[in-house]
Amino acid sequence: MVSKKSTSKTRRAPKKSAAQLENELAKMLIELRSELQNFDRINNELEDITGKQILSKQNKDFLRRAM
Amino acid sequence: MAKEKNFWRPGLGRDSLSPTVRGAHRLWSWAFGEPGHRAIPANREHPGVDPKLKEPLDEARKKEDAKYEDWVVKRGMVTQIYAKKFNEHLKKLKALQTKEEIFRASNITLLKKDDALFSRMHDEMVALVKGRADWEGFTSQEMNNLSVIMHDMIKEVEKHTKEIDALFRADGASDVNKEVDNRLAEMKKQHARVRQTVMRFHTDIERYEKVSKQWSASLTDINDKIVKILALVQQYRAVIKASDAELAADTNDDASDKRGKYAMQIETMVREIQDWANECHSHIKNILQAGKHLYRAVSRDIRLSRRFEKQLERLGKEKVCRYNKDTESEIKSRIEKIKGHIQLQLDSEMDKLRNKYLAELNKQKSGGCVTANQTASFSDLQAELAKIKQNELAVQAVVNSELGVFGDLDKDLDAIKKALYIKDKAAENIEKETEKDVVKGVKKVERDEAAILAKQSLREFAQYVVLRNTELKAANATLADELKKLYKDALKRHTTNTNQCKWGSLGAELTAFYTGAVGNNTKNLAKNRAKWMKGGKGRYNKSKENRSSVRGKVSQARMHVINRLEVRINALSAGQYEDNISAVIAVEATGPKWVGGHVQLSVNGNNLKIDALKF
Repeated sequence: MVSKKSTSKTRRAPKKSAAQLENELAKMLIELRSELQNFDRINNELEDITGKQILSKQNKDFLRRAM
Repeated sequence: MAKEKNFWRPGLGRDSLSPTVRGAHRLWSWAFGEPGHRAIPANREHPGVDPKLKEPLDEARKKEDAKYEDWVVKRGMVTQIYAKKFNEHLKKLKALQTKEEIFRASNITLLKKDDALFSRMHDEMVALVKGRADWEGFTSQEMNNLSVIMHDMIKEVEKHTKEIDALFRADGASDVNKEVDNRLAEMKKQHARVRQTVMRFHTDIERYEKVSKQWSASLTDINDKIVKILALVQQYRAVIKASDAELAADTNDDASDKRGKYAMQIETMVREIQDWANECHSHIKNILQAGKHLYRAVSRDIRLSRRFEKQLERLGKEKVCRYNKDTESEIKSRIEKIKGHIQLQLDSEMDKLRNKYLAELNKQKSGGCVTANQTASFSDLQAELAKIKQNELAVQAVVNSELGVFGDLDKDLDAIKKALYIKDKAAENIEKETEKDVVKGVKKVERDEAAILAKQSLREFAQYVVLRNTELKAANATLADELKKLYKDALKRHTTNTNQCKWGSLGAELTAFYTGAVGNNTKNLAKNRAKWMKGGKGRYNKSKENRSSVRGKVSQARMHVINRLEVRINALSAGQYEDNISAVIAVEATGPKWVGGHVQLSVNGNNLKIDALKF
């Protein structure tokens, strides 16, 4: 028996242009910012429950800047 | 010994009477007179005539009287035993009453015990939480376990409350019930508060668990996004690089540079965020742990302080403890005040006295020489001094009584401890006794007592003991009277010889039966045997008189006598003393010489023997 050669070809994702990638990056950065805001909210809630500052001052400052 | 053996051996010779039949005849002649004319062969050994028959009647009477006296003494002994038992019961009863009083006094101790249970519950809760080195890692399974433990503890508290409730409600006094209701209401409130605290604790933990999960998830999400952004940046930079190579001739270098800078900025920013997230991750565990420790410590402190405050307040209100820091300082200040006041009074009184004394002295001096005889008017001064001393003593007594409050506290505490100890000991003893009783199979009454003791309150049991003792006493008295009557009747029958029968109606009945069964002589016996056993005409056959069927008749007659007597005794005792008093009849049928009924009445294990009932 002669083994058949696999005829399936691996599909390559079409190459994205620089403009497309820029758009995608911008979108991801917006999502990241939104997630950071969400994290800030959750962190506040947790700090409220525990009655303790969870993040250090530097961390908190950085979070504010990143948002 | 050998002779006796021969005597007992049946069938010694063809012409000899069966020892059993001969013995039965002799017995019969002793009891009811001569049954027949047959002479006992002189060459045969026999046990001889009963010596009683040879003795004069008054001698027999004397003996019987002596026996009666003996019986009375024995009865007296039994009565003594019962009196002792009764006294023991009384003692037990008194002890129970004392215990009950102490128990009543210690009802507050029970409430305190309840408080101790609360404390234990709290401690267990804290220990459970403390045991967690890593607070964050509270799994839902552990939460469930915690919940089950708390639930159990609450149930235990409720059960305990119900028990206390039942104990208090056993007492009929309305004011006690009122007090109990108040306390129970307070306790129920306390239970509700504990339940609320526990529920709040649950809610807090659940909320914390939920939010901390969200926190971690959000941070993970941020990390994922960072990874994606970094990948995109890499792609973007590769694209820019490729387009730069392709468009080498392109003069738009400025745009390419701008894109490169943009990619660099993004990468830098994202890497910073990544570093920040990593830092957050690395420190968050310690921070959270510290936060939880703080939370735990604060909530514990709050609960403890509330508990102690309320406990102190409650104990003060209930006057369980007359001693605390406030009252101590209050009493001491009061004493100081009294002392100061008294000191002032004493000083002023002493001044007055001194002035009076000096005035009197001056008066005496002005009147002439002062001698011991001339100081008669000083007596009223002395009286006043005594009065002041008396006042001082009274004041001292007041001070002592105030100070005695502290001494009373120790006494109270001792009493409560003692009560608790006695209560526990009593419970232990009851348990032990019950167990012992079951093992040894003691009488039903005692088992009932134990069961009732376990089920009912101490008071009810005490009443039961009194009632039972009364019944027992009455039963003893009745028994004694019945026995006396029985014995007298037996004596009367024995000493009355009418119609050749010393036994009255029983004797007549037995005679008829015996004559029917055995006959006046061996011939009749054989006839009767044939008549009764075979239903035909019997013929006397000397050789057959020793056969088992004949002997059987004799023992049948004997057993009939015994049974009749047993029936009588049973009739006497049945239905009156229940299982407390049993009548036992032991019968000795010791061959032809002697057949004796020997009545033994057993009352709670103490035997009363009557040996006079012989036949």
